[in-house]
Amino acid sequence: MSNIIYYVSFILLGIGIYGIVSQKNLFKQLISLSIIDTAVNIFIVALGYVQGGEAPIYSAITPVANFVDPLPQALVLTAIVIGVGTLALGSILLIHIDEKYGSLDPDEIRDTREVVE
Amino acid sequence: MIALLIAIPLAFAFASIPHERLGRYFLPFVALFNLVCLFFFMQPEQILEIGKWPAAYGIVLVLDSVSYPFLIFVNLLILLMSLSATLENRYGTLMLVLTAAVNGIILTGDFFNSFVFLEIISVIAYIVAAHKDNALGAFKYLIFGGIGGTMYLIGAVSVYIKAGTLNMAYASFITDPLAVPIICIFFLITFLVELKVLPLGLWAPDVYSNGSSFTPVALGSIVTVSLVYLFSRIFLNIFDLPSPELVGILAMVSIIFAELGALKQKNLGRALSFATISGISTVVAALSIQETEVVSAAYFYLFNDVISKFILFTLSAYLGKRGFKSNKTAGIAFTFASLSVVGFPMFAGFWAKYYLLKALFQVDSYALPAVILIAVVIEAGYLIRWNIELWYKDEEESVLEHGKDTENEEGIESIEEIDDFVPFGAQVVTLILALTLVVIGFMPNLIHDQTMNIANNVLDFRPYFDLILRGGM
Repeated sequence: MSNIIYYVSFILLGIGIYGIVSQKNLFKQLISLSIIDTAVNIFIVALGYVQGGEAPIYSAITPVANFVDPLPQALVLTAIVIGVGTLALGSILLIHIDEKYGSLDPDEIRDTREVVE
Repeated sequence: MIALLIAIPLAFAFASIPHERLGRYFLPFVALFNLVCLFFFMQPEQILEIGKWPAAYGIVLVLDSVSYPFLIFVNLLILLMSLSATLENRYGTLMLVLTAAVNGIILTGDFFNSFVFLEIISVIAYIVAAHKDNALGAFKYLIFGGIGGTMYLIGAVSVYIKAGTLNMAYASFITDPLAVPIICIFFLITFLVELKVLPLGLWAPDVYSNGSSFTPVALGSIVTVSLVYLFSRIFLNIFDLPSPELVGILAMVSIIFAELGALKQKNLGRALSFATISGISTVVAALSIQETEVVSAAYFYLFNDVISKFILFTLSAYLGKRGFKSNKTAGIAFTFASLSVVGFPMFAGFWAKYYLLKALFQVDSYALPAVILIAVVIEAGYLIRWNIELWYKDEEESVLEHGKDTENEEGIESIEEIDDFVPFGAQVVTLILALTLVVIGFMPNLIHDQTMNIANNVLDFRPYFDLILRGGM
Protein backbone atom coordinates (compact mmCIF):
# COMPACT_ATOMS: atom_id res chain seq x y z
CA MET A 1 0.00 0.00 0.00
CA SER A 2 2.76 2.43 0.99
CA ASN A 3 4.47 1.81 -2.35
CA ILE A 4 1.52 3.18 -4.32
CA ILE A 5 2.83 6.71 -4.01
CA TYR A 6 6.08 5.65 -5.70
CA TYR A 7 4.13 4.08 -8.56
CA VAL A 8 2.09 7.26 -8.91
CA SER A 9 5.25 9.35 -9.19
CA PHE A 10 6.81 6.97 -11.74
CA ILE A 11 3.60 6.95 -13.82
CA LEU A 12 3.54 10.76 -13.75
CA LEU A 13 7.22 10.84 -14.71
CA GLY A 14 6.45 8.56 -17.66
CA ILE A 15 3.51 10.71 -18.72
CA GLY A 16 5.71 13.81 -18.58
CA ILE A 17 8.53 12.28 -20.62
CA TYR A 18 6.03 10.86 -23.11
CA GLY A 19 4.46 14.32 -23.41
CA ILE A 20 7.77 16.01 -24.17
CA VAL A 21 8.76 13.40 -26.72
CA SER A 22 5.38 13.02 -28.45
CA GLN A 23 3.79 16.47 -28.31
CA LYS A 24 4.66 18.99 -30.97
CA ASN A 25 2.89 21.93 -29.43
CA LEU A 26 5.37 23.91 -27.33
CA PHE A 27 2.83 24.70 -24.62
CA LYS A 28 2.07 21.00 -24.18
CA GLN A 29 5.80 20.38 -23.87
CA LEU A 30 6.02 22.95 -21.10
CA ILE A 31 3.10 21.36 -19.27
CA SER A 32 4.80 17.97 -19.66
CA LEU A 33 7.93 19.42 -18.05
CA SER A 34 5.77 20.67 -15.20
CA ILE A 35 4.29 17.16 -14.78
CA ILE A 36 7.83 15.75 -14.53
CA ASP A 37 8.62 18.32 -11.82
CA THR A 38 5.49 17.33 -9.90
CA ALA A 39 6.32 13.62 -10.23
CA VAL A 40 9.79 14.18 -8.83
CA ASN A 41 8.44 16.28 -5.96
CA ILE A 42 5.95 13.54 -5.02
CA PHE A 43 8.76 10.99 -5.19
CA ILE A 44 10.97 13.03 -2.87
CA VAL A 45 8.23 13.64 -0.29
CA ALA A 46 7.39 9.92 -0.38
CA LEU A 47 11.00 9.07 0.42
CA GLY A 48 10.80 10.95 3.71
CA TYR A 49 7.44 9.50 4.70
CA VAL A 50 7.24 7.27 7.77
CA GLN A 51 4.18 5.07 8.29
CA GLY A 52 2.16 6.56 11.15
CA GLY A 53 4.77 9.29 11.61
CA GLU A 54 4.26 12.69 13.22
CA ALA A 55 4.92 16.10 11.75
CA PRO A 56 8.57 16.88 12.50
CA ILE A 57 7.92 19.64 15.06
CA TYR A 58 9.86 19.19 18.27
CA SER A 59 7.95 20.30 21.36
CA ALA A 60 7.31 19.46 24.99
CA ILE A 61 4.30 17.35 23.97
CA THR A 62 6.30 15.36 21.42
CA PRO A 63 9.82 15.15 22.89
CA VAL A 64 10.31 11.75 21.35
CA ALA A 65 8.05 10.84 18.49
CA ASN A 66 8.06 8.89 15.27
CA PHE A 67 8.86 11.93 13.12
CA VAL A 68 8.79 11.85 9.35
CA ASP A 69 12.06 12.98 7.75
CA PRO A 70 11.84 16.77 7.39
CA LEU A 71 14.75 17.18 4.99
CA PRO A 72 13.04 15.88 1.83
CA GLN A 73 10.16 18.26 2.58
CA ALA A 74 12.58 21.17 2.80
CA LEU A 75 14.21 20.09 -0.47
CA VAL A 76 10.84 19.83 -2.17
CA LEU A 77 9.90 23.35 -1.07
CA THR A 78 13.01 24.67 -2.82
CA ALA A 79 12.37 22.48 -5.86
CA ILE A 80 8.77 23.75 -6.10
CA VAL A 81 9.94 27.37 -6.07
CA ILE A 82 12.51 26.65 -8.78
CA GLY A 83 9.92 24.70 -10.82
CA VAL A 84 7.39 27.54 -10.66
CA GLY A 85 10.08 30.02 -11.69
CA THR A 86 11.01 27.88 -14.68
CA LEU A 87 7.35 27.42 -15.61
CA ALA A 88 6.76 31.18 -15.48
CA LEU A 89 9.84 31.86 -17.57
CA GLY A 90 8.81 29.21 -20.09
CA SER A 91 5.37 30.79 -20.36
CA ILE A 92 6.91 34.20 -21.05
CA LEU A 93 9.09 32.69 -23.77
CA LEU A 94 6.01 31.04 -25.31
CA ILE A 95 4.18 34.39 -25.34
CA HIS A 96 7.13 35.92 -27.20
CA ILE A 97 7.22 32.99 -29.64
CA ASP A 98 3.48 33.30 -30.28
CA GLU A 99 3.77 37.05 -30.83
CA LYS A 100 6.65 36.58 -33.27
CA TYR A 101 5.45 33.57 -35.26
CA GLY A 102 1.71 33.55 -34.57
CA SER A 103 1.80 29.90 -33.52
CA LEU A 104 3.22 27.45 -31.00
CA ASP A 105 3.37 24.60 -33.50
CA PRO A 106 6.97 23.90 -34.64
CA ASP A 107 5.90 23.14 -38.24
CA GLU A 108 4.03 26.43 -38.55
CA ILE A 109 6.90 28.27 -36.89
CA ARG A 110 9.32 26.72 -39.40
CA ASP A 111 7.09 27.80 -42.29
CA THR A 112 6.90 31.34 -40.92
CA ARG A 113 10.69 31.45 -40.50
CA GLU A 114 11.25 30.28 -44.07
CA VAL A 115 8.92 32.98 -45.38
CA VAL A 116 10.73 35.66 -43.29
CA GLU A 117 14.19 34.48 -44.39
CA MET B 1 35.95 34.90 3.88
CA ILE B 2 35.33 32.53 0.94
CA ALA B 3 31.58 33.21 1.22
CA LEU B 4 32.34 36.74 -0.02
CA LEU B 5 32.85 35.31 -3.51
CA ILE B 6 29.13 34.52 -3.52
CA ALA B 7 27.82 37.22 -1.20
CA ILE B 8 29.41 40.27 -2.84
CA PRO B 9 28.12 39.61 -6.40
CA LEU B 10 24.70 38.83 -4.93
CA ALA B 11 24.68 41.99 -2.80
CA PHE B 12 25.60 44.12 -5.81
CA ALA B 13 22.96 42.35 -7.88
CA PHE B 14 20.30 43.38 -5.36
CA ALA B 15 21.77 46.88 -5.13
CA SER B 16 21.49 47.26 -8.90
CA ILE B 17 17.79 46.39 -9.04
CA PRO B 18 16.50 49.92 -8.25
CA HIS B 19 19.12 51.43 -10.60
CA GLU B 20 19.11 49.00 -13.46
CA ARG B 21 21.92 50.49 -15.48
CA LEU B 22 24.37 50.33 -12.57
CA GLY B 23 24.52 46.52 -12.85
CA ARG B 24 26.78 46.44 -15.85
CA TYR B 25 29.13 48.99 -14.25
CA PHE B 26 29.25 46.95 -11.04
CA LEU B 27 30.12 43.76 -12.88
CA PRO B 28 33.81 44.41 -13.75
CA PHE B 29 34.51 45.76 -10.27
CA VAL B 30 32.88 42.76 -8.62
CA ALA B 31 34.85 40.34 -10.82
CA LEU B 32 38.02 42.30 -10.06
CA PHE B 33 37.22 42.23 -6.35
CA ASN B 34 36.83 38.44 -6.51
CA LEU B 35 40.15 38.09 -8.30
CA VAL B 36 41.95 40.33 -5.80
CA CYS B 37 40.44 38.31 -2.93
CA LEU B 38 41.50 35.05 -4.56
CA PHE B 39 45.05 36.17 -5.30
CA PHE B 40 45.86 38.05 -2.11
CA PHE B 41 43.50 37.06 0.68
CA MET B 42 42.41 33.49 0.02
CA GLN B 43 44.56 30.43 -0.31
CA PRO B 44 43.48 26.86 -1.04
CA GLU B 45 42.72 24.26 1.59
CA GLN B 46 40.07 25.99 3.64
CA ILE B 47 36.42 25.28 4.26
CA LEU B 48 33.52 27.29 5.62
CA GLU B 49 30.78 25.54 7.56
CA ILE B 50 27.66 27.62 7.08
CA GLY B 51 26.00 28.31 10.44
CA LYS B 52 28.78 26.31 12.16
CA TRP B 53 26.98 23.08 11.26
CA PRO B 54 29.42 20.18 10.85
CA ALA B 55 29.95 19.08 7.27
CA ALA B 56 27.77 15.97 7.44
CA TYR B 57 24.73 17.99 8.60
CA GLY B 58 25.15 21.40 7.03
CA ILE B 59 26.35 23.15 3.90
CA VAL B 60 30.09 23.61 3.48
CA LEU B 61 31.99 25.77 1.04
CA VAL B 62 35.31 24.24 0.04
CA LEU B 63 38.29 26.07 -1.41
CA ASP B 64 40.86 23.44 -2.34
CA SER B 65 43.58 23.02 -4.95
CA VAL B 66 41.00 22.03 -7.55
CA SER B 67 38.35 24.69 -7.00
CA TYR B 68 40.89 27.52 -6.57
CA PRO B 69 42.26 27.62 -10.16
CA PHE B 70 38.77 27.11 -11.57
CA LEU B 71 37.51 30.10 -9.56
CA ILE B 72 40.35 32.28 -10.82
CA PHE B 73 39.71 31.25 -14.42
CA VAL B 74 35.95 31.78 -14.21
CA ASN B 75 36.24 35.21 -12.55
CA LEU B 76 38.85 36.24 -15.09
CA LEU B 77 36.46 35.29 -17.88
CA ILE B 78 33.67 37.28 -16.22
CA LEU B 79 35.95 40.32 -15.95
CA LEU B 80 36.96 40.06 -19.61
CA MET B 81 33.36 39.53 -20.73
CA SER B 82 32.22 42.59 -18.79
CA LEU B 83 34.82 44.65 -20.69
CA SER B 84 34.24 43.18 -24.13
CA ALA B 85 30.50 42.57 -24.41
CA THR B 86 27.86 45.16 -25.13
CA LEU B 87 25.67 44.50 -22.11
CA GLU B 88 22.25 46.08 -22.06
CA ASN B 89 21.29 47.58 -18.71
CA ARG B 90 18.94 44.82 -17.66
CA TYR B 91 21.57 42.14 -18.21
CA GLY B 92 24.02 43.65 -15.70
CA THR B 93 22.03 42.40 -12.71
CA LEU B 94 21.67 38.97 -14.31
CA MET B 95 25.40 38.69 -14.88
CA LEU B 96 26.05 39.59 -11.24
CA VAL B 97 23.72 36.79 -10.13
CA LEU B 98 25.45 34.47 -12.61
CA THR B 99 28.80 35.41 -11.04
CA ALA B 100 27.47 34.46 -7.60
CA ALA B 101 26.03 31.20 -8.93
CA VAL B 102 29.12 30.00 -10.79
CA ASN B 103 31.30 30.83 -7.79
CA GLY B 104 28.78 29.00 -5.62
CA ILE B 105 28.67 25.88 -7.76
CA ILE B 106 32.47 25.68 -7.71
CA LEU B 107 32.74 26.29 -3.96
CA THR B 108 29.92 24.20 -2.62
CA GLY B 109 30.51 20.81 -1.08
CA ASP B 110 26.83 19.92 -0.86
CA PHE B 111 24.75 18.16 -3.49
CA PHE B 112 21.48 19.99 -2.93
CA ASN B 113 23.24 23.33 -2.72
CA SER B 114 24.90 22.58 -6.05
CA PHE B 115 21.44 21.77 -7.47
CA VAL B 116 20.19 25.20 -6.35
CA PHE B 117 23.18 26.96 -7.92
CA LEU B 118 22.75 24.86 -11.06
CA GLU B 119 19.12 25.94 -11.33
CA ILE B 120 20.03 29.60 -10.77
CA ILE B 121 22.59 29.30 -13.56
CA SER B 122 19.99 27.58 -15.77
CA VAL B 123 17.30 30.22 -15.26
CA ILE B 124 19.79 32.99 -16.03
CA ALA B 125 21.01 31.00 -19.02
CA TYR B 126 17.45 30.75 -20.41
CA ILE B 127 17.02 34.52 -20.09
CA VAL B 128 20.42 35.21 -21.63
CA ALA B 129 19.65 32.74 -24.41
CA ALA B 130 16.49 34.71 -25.24
CA HIS B 131 18.59 37.81 -25.99
CA LYS B 132 18.17 39.27 -29.50
CA ASP B 133 14.59 38.00 -29.77
CA ASN B 134 15.68 34.34 -29.62
CA ALA B 135 12.77 33.04 -27.53
CA LEU B 136 12.48 29.84 -29.59
CA GLY B 137 16.11 28.85 -29.01
CA ALA B 138 15.79 29.71 -25.32
CA PHE B 139 12.63 27.60 -25.00
CA LYS B 140 14.36 24.63 -26.57
CA TYR B 141 17.15 25.05 -24.01
CA LEU B 142 14.57 25.35 -21.21
CA ILE B 143 13.03 21.99 -22.08
CA PHE B 144 16.39 20.21 -22.29
CA GLY B 145 17.73 22.03 -19.22
CA GLY B 146 14.52 21.39 -17.27
CA ILE B 147 14.84 17.64 -17.77
CA GLY B 148 18.55 17.83 -16.90
CA GLY B 149 17.83 19.77 -13.70
CA THR B 150 15.18 17.27 -12.65
CA MET B 151 17.61 14.40 -13.14
CA TYR B 152 20.18 16.18 -10.98
CA LEU B 153 17.56 16.64 -8.25
CA ILE B 154 16.68 12.93 -8.30
CA GLY B 155 20.40 12.14 -8.08
CA ALA B 156 20.93 14.52 -5.15
CA VAL B 157 17.97 13.14 -3.21
CA SER B 158 19.07 9.57 -3.92
CA VAL B 159 22.45 10.46 -2.40
CA TYR B 160 20.66 11.67 0.73
CA ILE B 161 18.58 8.50 0.97
CA LYS B 162 21.59 6.24 0.58
CA ALA B 163 24.23 8.22 2.50
CA GLY B 164 22.04 10.03 5.05
CA THR B 165 23.80 13.27 4.13
CA LEU B 166 24.03 15.62 1.18
CA ASN B 167 27.70 16.33 1.76
CA MET B 168 29.79 15.39 -1.29
CA ALA B 169 32.71 13.95 0.65
CA TYR B 170 30.57 11.75 2.91
CA ALA B 171 28.46 10.67 -0.06
CA SER B 172 31.46 8.81 -1.45
CA PHE B 173 31.03 6.23 1.31
CA ILE B 174 27.80 4.86 -0.12
CA THR B 175 28.36 1.13 -0.04
CA ASP B 176 25.37 -0.09 -2.06
CA PRO B 177 27.02 -1.31 -5.30
CA LEU B 178 23.80 -0.88 -7.26
CA ALA B 179 22.91 2.58 -5.96
CA VAL B 180 26.08 4.40 -6.99
CA PRO B 181 25.85 3.72 -10.76
CA ILE B 182 22.15 4.63 -10.79
CA ILE B 183 22.81 7.90 -8.92
CA CYS B 184 25.68 8.66 -11.29
CA ILE B 185 23.50 8.05 -14.36
CA PHE B 186 21.06 10.72 -13.12
CA PHE B 187 23.92 13.19 -12.67
CA LEU B 188 25.43 12.18 -15.99
CA ILE B 189 22.25 13.00 -17.93
CA THR B 190 22.38 16.52 -16.48
CA PHE B 191 25.99 16.97 -17.52
CA LEU B 192 25.42 15.62 -21.03
CA VAL B 193 22.69 18.25 -21.45
CA GLU B 194 24.59 21.14 -19.91
CA LEU B 195 27.95 20.26 -21.49
CA LYS B 196 26.22 20.01 -24.87
CA VAL B 197 27.23 16.45 -25.74
CA LEU B 198 25.06 15.43 -28.70
CA PRO B 199 22.25 14.48 -28.96
CA LEU B 200 21.34 16.08 -25.59
CA GLY B 201 23.25 19.24 -26.54
CA LEU B 202 21.12 19.93 -29.62
CA TRP B 203 19.80 23.09 -27.99
CA ALA B 204 23.20 24.80 -28.23
CA PRO B 205 23.40 25.86 -31.92
CA ASP B 206 20.12 27.80 -31.72
CA VAL B 207 21.17 29.50 -28.49
CA TYR B 208 24.78 30.37 -29.29
CA SER B 209 24.05 31.75 -32.74
CA ASN B 210 21.60 34.43 -31.58
CA GLY B 211 24.05 37.18 -32.56
CA SER B 212 24.57 38.44 -29.02
CA SER B 213 28.07 39.45 -27.93
CA PHE B 214 27.68 37.87 -24.50
CA THR B 215 25.29 34.88 -24.75
CA PRO B 216 27.84 32.42 -26.19
CA VAL B 217 30.62 33.78 -23.97
CA ALA B 218 28.52 33.60 -20.79
CA LEU B 219 27.13 30.15 -21.55
CA GLY B 220 29.89 28.61 -23.66
CA SER B 221 32.82 29.81 -21.58
CA ILE B 222 31.85 30.80 -18.05
CA VAL B 223 29.05 28.29 -17.39
CA THR B 224 30.86 25.51 -19.25
CA VAL B 225 34.04 25.88 -17.18
CA SER B 226 32.07 25.79 -13.91
CA LEU B 227 30.19 22.68 -15.06
CA VAL B 228 33.38 20.92 -16.17
CA TYR B 229 34.59 21.54 -12.61
CA LEU B 230 31.42 20.00 -11.14
CA PHE B 231 31.66 17.07 -13.58
CA SER B 232 35.26 16.49 -12.46
CA ARG B 233 34.37 16.80 -8.79
CA ILE B 234 31.52 14.28 -9.00
CA PHE B 235 32.92 11.75 -11.46
CA LEU B 236 36.67 11.94 -10.89
CA ASN B 237 36.81 12.82 -7.21
CA ILE B 238 33.73 11.52 -5.40
CA PHE B 239 32.19 8.75 -7.47
CA ASP B 240 33.41 6.78 -10.46
CA LEU B 241 32.00 7.59 -13.86
CA PRO B 242 29.38 4.95 -14.77
CA SER B 243 30.51 2.98 -17.86
CA PRO B 244 33.26 5.40 -18.94
CA GLU B 245 33.67 3.55 -22.26
CA LEU B 246 30.07 4.34 -23.19
CA VAL B 247 30.48 8.00 -22.21
CA GLY B 248 33.66 8.12 -24.28
CA ILE B 249 31.95 6.63 -27.33
CA LEU B 250 29.01 9.03 -26.96
CA ALA B 251 31.40 11.98 -26.74
CA MET B 252 33.39 10.78 -29.78
CA VAL B 253 30.21 10.45 -31.85
CA SER B 254 29.29 13.94 -30.66
CA ILE B 255 32.69 15.28 -31.83
CA ILE B 256 32.26 13.89 -35.35
CA PHE B 257 28.64 15.00 -35.78
CA ALA B 258 29.40 18.45 -34.37
CA GLU B 259 32.34 18.93 -36.75
CA LEU B 260 30.27 17.81 -39.73
CA GLY B 261 27.50 20.13 -38.57
CA ALA B 262 29.97 23.02 -38.34
CA LEU B 263 31.34 22.25 -41.80
CA LYS B 264 28.00 22.64 -43.57
CA GLN B 265 26.87 25.82 -41.80
CA LYS B 266 26.52 29.01 -43.80
CA ASN B 267 26.20 31.16 -40.69
CA LEU B 268 29.41 31.83 -38.73
CA GLY B 269 27.64 31.85 -35.35
CA ARG B 270 26.12 28.42 -35.96
CA ALA B 271 29.44 27.04 -37.24
CA LEU B 272 31.15 28.21 -34.07
CA SER B 273 28.33 26.73 -31.96
CA PHE B 274 28.94 23.30 -33.46
CA ALA B 275 32.70 23.80 -33.01
CA THR B 276 32.06 24.50 -29.32
CA ILE B 277 30.06 21.28 -29.01
CA SER B 278 32.97 19.42 -30.57
CA GLY B 279 35.49 21.07 -28.23
CA ILE B 280 33.62 20.31 -25.04
CA SER B 281 32.80 16.78 -26.21
CA THR B 282 36.55 16.23 -26.62
CA VAL B 283 37.06 17.36 -23.02
CA VAL B 284 34.31 15.01 -21.78
CA ALA B 285 35.76 12.11 -23.79
CA ALA B 286 39.21 12.75 -22.33
CA LEU B 287 37.94 13.14 -18.76
CA SER B 288 36.09 9.83 -19.07
CA ILE B 289 39.49 8.07 -19.31
CA GLN B 290 40.32 9.14 -15.73
CA GLU B 291 44.11 9.00 -16.03
CA THR B 292 46.18 11.84 -14.58
CA GLU B 293 48.02 12.81 -17.78
CA VAL B 294 44.87 12.62 -19.88
CA VAL B 295 42.82 14.62 -17.38
CA SER B 296 45.56 17.26 -17.23
CA ALA B 297 45.60 17.46 -21.03
CA ALA B 298 41.79 17.72 -21.03
CA TYR B 299 41.99 20.80 -18.78
CA PHE B 300 44.66 22.32 -21.05
CA TYR B 301 42.36 21.61 -24.01
CA LEU B 302 39.47 23.23 -22.15
CA PHE B 303 41.57 26.32 -21.42
CA ASN B 304 42.54 26.73 -25.07
CA ASP B 305 39.05 26.02 -26.36
CA VAL B 306 37.35 28.44 -23.98
CA ILE B 307 39.80 31.31 -24.69
CA SER B 308 39.70 30.74 -28.46
CA LYS B 309 35.91 30.50 -28.60
CA PHE B 310 35.65 33.63 -26.39
CA ILE B 311 37.56 35.54 -29.10
CA LEU B 312 35.72 33.96 -32.03
CA PHE B 313 32.22 34.41 -30.62
CA THR B 314 32.84 37.98 -29.44
CA LEU B 315 34.16 39.09 -32.82
CA SER B 316 31.59 37.15 -34.84
CA ALA B 317 28.82 38.93 -32.89
CA TYR B 318 30.14 42.33 -33.95
CA LEU B 319 30.95 41.34 -37.52
CA GLY B 320 27.44 41.26 -38.94
CA LYS B 321 28.00 41.11 -42.69
CA ARG B 322 31.36 42.82 -42.60
CA GLY B 323 34.90 41.53 -43.00
CA PHE B 324 38.30 42.36 -41.56
CA LYS B 325 39.61 44.71 -44.25
CA SER B 326 38.70 47.78 -42.25
CA ASN B 327 39.48 46.29 -38.85
CA LYS B 328 42.71 44.39 -38.99
CA THR B 329 43.13 44.18 -35.21
CA ALA B 330 39.94 42.17 -34.92
CA GLY B 331 41.00 40.12 -37.93
CA ILE B 332 44.36 39.24 -36.39
CA ALA B 333 42.74 38.20 -33.11
CA PHE B 334 40.16 36.11 -35.01
CA THR B 335 42.82 34.38 -37.11
CA PHE B 336 45.05 33.68 -34.10
CA ALA B 337 42.09 32.14 -32.26
CA SER B 338 41.15 30.05 -35.31
CA LEU B 339 44.71 28.76 -35.67
CA SER B 340 44.81 27.92 -31.99
CA VAL B 341 41.55 25.96 -32.22
CA VAL B 342 42.96 23.98 -35.15
CA GLY B 343 46.18 23.33 -33.22
CA PHE B 344 48.64 25.24 -35.38
CA PRO B 345 52.23 25.25 -33.95
CA MET B 346 53.19 28.33 -31.90
CA PHE B 347 49.70 28.57 -30.41
CA ALA B 348 48.29 27.17 -27.17
CA GLY B 349 46.02 24.89 -29.19
CA PHE B 350 49.00 23.01 -30.58
CA TRP B 351 50.14 22.05 -27.08
CA ALA B 352 46.59 21.24 -26.02
CA LYS B 353 46.32 18.70 -28.82
CA TYR B 354 49.90 17.50 -28.43
CA TYR B 355 49.56 16.81 -24.69
CA LEU B 356 46.20 15.14 -25.21
CA LEU B 357 47.38 12.86 -28.02
CA LYS B 358 50.60 12.01 -26.16
CA ALA B 359 48.70 11.18 -22.97
CA LEU B 360 46.15 9.08 -24.86
CA PHE B 361 48.86 7.07 -26.59
CA GLN B 362 50.54 6.51 -23.22
CA VAL B 363 47.38 4.82 -21.89
CA ASP B 364 46.94 2.83 -25.13
CA SER B 365 43.85 4.68 -26.19
CA TYR B 366 43.70 4.96 -29.98
CA ALA B 367 40.06 5.63 -30.83
CA LEU B 368 39.93 9.13 -29.36
CA PRO B 369 43.20 10.26 -31.03
CA ALA B 370 41.80 9.07 -34.38
CA VAL B 371 38.60 11.04 -33.80
CA ILE B 372 40.57 14.12 -32.72
CA LEU B 373 42.72 13.96 -35.85
CA ILE B 374 39.66 13.64 -38.09
CA ALA B 375 38.09 16.57 -36.23
CA VAL B 376 41.25 18.66 -36.76
CA VAL B 377 41.07 18.14 -40.52
CA ILE B 378 37.39 19.15 -40.67
CA GLU B 379 37.98 22.05 -38.28
CA ALA B 380 40.88 23.33 -40.35
CA GLY B 381 38.67 23.14 -43.44
CA TYR B 382 35.86 25.34 -42.25
CA LEU B 383 37.87 27.73 -40.05
CA ILE B 384 40.34 28.52 -42.85
CA ARG B 385 37.39 28.95 -45.22
CA TRP B 386 35.76 31.43 -42.83
CA ASN B 387 39.02 33.32 -42.35
CA ILE B 388 39.60 33.66 -46.11
CA GLU B 389 36.01 34.76 -46.60
CA LEU B 390 36.21 37.41 -43.88
CA TRP B 391 39.64 38.74 -44.89
CA TYR B 392 38.73 39.07 -48.57
CA LYS B 393 35.15 40.20 -48.18
CA ASP B 394 34.07 43.13 -50.33
CA GLU B 395 32.79 45.30 -47.49
CA GLU B 396 31.17 48.11 -49.45
CA GLU B 397 28.94 45.65 -51.25
CA SER B 398 28.08 43.66 -48.16
CA VAL B 399 27.28 46.74 -46.07
CA LEU B 400 25.11 48.11 -48.85
CA GLU B 401 23.34 44.77 -48.96
CA HIS B 402 23.05 44.88 -45.19
CA GLY B 403 21.56 48.37 -45.46
CA LYS B 404 18.99 47.13 -47.95
CA ASP B 405 18.23 44.02 -45.94
CA THR B 406 17.47 45.98 -42.83
CA GLU B 407 15.63 48.67 -44.81
CA ASN B 408 18.28 51.14 -43.75
CA GLU B 409 18.17 53.91 -46.30
CA GLU B 410 21.43 55.27 -44.96
CA GLY B 411 23.46 52.23 -45.92
CA ILE B 412 26.19 54.39 -47.45
CA GLU B 413 26.74 56.17 -44.13
CA SER B 414 27.26 52.76 -42.58
CA ILE B 415 30.33 52.30 -44.79
CA GLU B 416 31.94 55.38 -43.27
CA GLU B 417 31.27 54.03 -39.79
CA ILE B 418 32.72 50.67 -40.69
CA ASP B 419 36.03 51.28 -38.88
CA ASP B 420 34.33 51.27 -35.51
CA PHE B 421 32.32 48.11 -35.85
CA VAL B 422 34.17 46.33 -33.05
CA PRO B 423 34.04 48.37 -29.80
CA PHE B 424 37.38 49.40 -28.34
CA GLY B 425 36.92 47.20 -25.23
CA ALA B 426 36.23 44.12 -27.33
CA GLN B 427 39.25 44.84 -29.57
CA VAL B 428 41.60 45.17 -26.61
CA VAL B 429 40.25 42.11 -24.79
CA THR B 430 40.27 39.84 -27.84
CA LEU B 431 43.75 40.99 -28.84
CA ILE B 432 45.10 40.37 -25.33
CA LEU B 433 43.54 36.91 -25.31
CA ALA B 434 44.92 36.16 -28.78
CA LEU B 435 48.40 37.20 -27.64
CA THR B 436 47.95 35.02 -24.55
CA LEU B 437 47.40 32.06 -26.86
CA VAL B 438 50.69 32.92 -28.60
CA VAL B 439 52.58 33.36 -25.31
CA ILE B 440 51.30 29.98 -24.08
CA GLY B 441 52.27 28.57 -27.47
CA PHE B 442 55.90 29.43 -26.58
CA MET B 443 55.62 28.72 -22.84
CA PRO B 444 53.08 25.88 -22.45
CA ASN B 445 54.37 25.04 -18.96
CA LEU B 446 52.64 28.14 -17.63
CA ILE B 447 49.37 26.25 -18.01
CA HIS B 448 50.56 22.66 -18.12
CA ASP B 449 52.03 22.80 -14.60
CA GLN B 450 48.72 24.10 -13.29
CA THR B 451 46.62 21.51 -15.09
CA MET B 452 48.89 18.71 -13.86
CA ASN B 453 48.42 19.97 -10.32
CA ILE B 454 44.63 20.06 -10.74
CA ALA B 455 44.58 16.59 -12.31
CA ASN B 456 46.69 15.12 -9.49
CA ASN B 457 44.39 16.61 -6.86
CA VAL B 458 41.08 15.84 -8.55
CA LEU B 459 41.94 12.16 -8.92
CA ASP B 460 42.96 11.87 -5.29
CA PHE B 461 39.95 11.82 -2.98
CA ARG B 462 41.92 11.74 0.24
CA PRO B 463 42.99 15.44 0.49
CA TYR B 464 39.41 16.56 -0.21
CA PHE B 465 37.95 14.32 2.46
CA ASP B 466 40.69 15.27 4.95
CA LEU B 467 39.86 18.92 4.39
CA ILE B 468 36.16 18.31 5.05
CA LEU B 469 36.96 16.14 8.08
CA ARG B 470 39.19 18.82 9.54
CA GLY B 471 36.11 21.02 9.61
CA GLY B 472 34.61 18.71 12.24
CA MET B 473 32.00 15.99 12.41
